[in-house]
Amino acid sequence: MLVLSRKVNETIIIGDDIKITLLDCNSDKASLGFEAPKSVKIIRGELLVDTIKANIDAVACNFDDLK
Amino acid sequence: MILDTIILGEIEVSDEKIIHFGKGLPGFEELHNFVLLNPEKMYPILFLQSVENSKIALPVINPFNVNKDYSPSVYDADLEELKITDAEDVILLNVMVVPADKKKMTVNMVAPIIINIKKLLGKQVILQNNQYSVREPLYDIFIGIKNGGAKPC
Repeated sequence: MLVLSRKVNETIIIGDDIKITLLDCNSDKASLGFEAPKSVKIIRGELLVDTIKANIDAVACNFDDLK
Repeated sequence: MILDTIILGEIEVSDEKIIHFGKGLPGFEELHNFVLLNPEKMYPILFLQSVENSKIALPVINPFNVNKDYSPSVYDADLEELKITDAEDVILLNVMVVPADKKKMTVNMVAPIIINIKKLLGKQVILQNNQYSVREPLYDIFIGIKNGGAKPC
């Protein structure tokens, strides 16, 4: 994993057209701004993790209870 | 083909009912082909049954029955991947979790499964919206739909 340190208002450029700016930062939380083409999906990582967990829970259901 | 299903036992399924998920589903990336089952006695639950693994079936529900104001904002890249050109060709289904205490059942409103019924392509996508949650309480709404007027879709 590449690790970069940034100060507030410093940026990271990914590829030719994605820019990430560190907007604010305190001890346990950072605000990031994203500038990217509309075609680029930007998603909070935990939504995918939680969806994986929910799907795994979903197939474990006892459906007989629901008739 | 004959398909073994959790809900209905062995059923005959024609190839044109099989929906292809190019990337599988989150948590089940190795499963690429599903059929949608709509057993009448289970209304309003439908089931997305894996063709490849008979033990895998996800209970799903029409999100517009859950929330008539549901307004999913889907990334263009996902619509393109599903070759969606006409809103008429699309159905949305959201995965339910039903624990032993069914009063605690939930539905994932963040990540609808989108199906292009004409091209038989499907994908579970994460929405751009941030007003929905992965585990929205469903029980009261579910009972309302089951006992209420909404027609099976």
